Amino acid sequence: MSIGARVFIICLGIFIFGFVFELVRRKSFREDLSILWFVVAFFIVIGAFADFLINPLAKLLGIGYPPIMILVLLFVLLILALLYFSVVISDLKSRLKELTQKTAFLEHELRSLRKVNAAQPQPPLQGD
Amino acid sequence: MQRCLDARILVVLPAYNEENNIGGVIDKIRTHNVVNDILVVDDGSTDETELVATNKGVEVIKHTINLGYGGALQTGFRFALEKGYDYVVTLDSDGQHDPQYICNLFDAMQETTANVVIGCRIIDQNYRMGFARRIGSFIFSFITMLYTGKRFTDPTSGFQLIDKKAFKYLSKGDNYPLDYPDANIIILLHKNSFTVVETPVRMYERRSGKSMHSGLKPVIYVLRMLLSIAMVILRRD
Repeated sequence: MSIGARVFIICLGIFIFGFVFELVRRKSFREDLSILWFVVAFFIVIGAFADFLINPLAKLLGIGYPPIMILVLLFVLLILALLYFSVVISDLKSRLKELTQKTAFLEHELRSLRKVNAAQPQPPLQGD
Repeated sequence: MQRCLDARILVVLPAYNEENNIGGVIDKIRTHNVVNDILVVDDGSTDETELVATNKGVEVIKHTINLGYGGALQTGFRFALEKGYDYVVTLDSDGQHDPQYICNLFDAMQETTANVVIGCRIIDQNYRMGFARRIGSFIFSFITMLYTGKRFTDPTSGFQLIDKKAFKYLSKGDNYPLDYPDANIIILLHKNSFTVVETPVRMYERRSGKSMHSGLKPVIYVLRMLLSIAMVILRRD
């Protein structure tokens, strides 16, 4: 890999790290969910020296063209990221159900109380 | 019938965009005079379901968003638990179920001491089950029999009587699925030592609107239900 390519990949990794960091700082991105993207940025920076790892790994797995190995690793990373976010969505769905049911109950209670209040005679205002 | 009226039974009607059917179903329940209390759980309808039900003078709880059939039923279970009911009857809001059979379910529960009684369809010419639903019913019936040792002719039926012990359990957390309470629930209840039986009831074709069992949905439904059943069996409580 040329020096230029390595510098570009390192800059890309640092940019993603900085971008995610800024999003977290502005509270546009939750800290717990951002961890995954810091890890991704870290691996991109490491990726600048991937050929030292990729070449022997590709040889070990019998992949004739080593750069394909990068695509394979990226694919695995993406699948893991998707799985992680599916778990997060699933958890959010459960919480949304709880909230919706609680809100519905509270709304029902409020309506019942209003009905009771409306049925009761109103006390005279002070000074009447 | 009096025994049925004396018991603290709540009829739960989960409804999603059923403005054309819900009024008729409420009227029919009242005509038969078998239960006193009715709760409509409006599952985020975009039509006038809530207004129609409110004008009929029944209790109405409205979800701000659509949770799904199971989510609406669980809201009903939670309501029943909070208000101290002893039994819950679940009926579809599309007019398929005949409320005069509520007492049959109640009698079956008293005779068998079961926790849940499922109303299965009386086989006659008045009701024609769709092809997809027939296939689904057959598959789920077979799996349920393998696990529970009992034959359920209609595990997909939403016409059920559930006692307090069972609906208390189902009202907790994720014990009840949001979308597909079906054969998976029979298996879940059996696994947790609840007794489930079925008794014949009359059912009709839905009056108007689109059934959840129409279009391509049945195929997806069968796949998801199979997954759900597998998970219920494999999970450790």
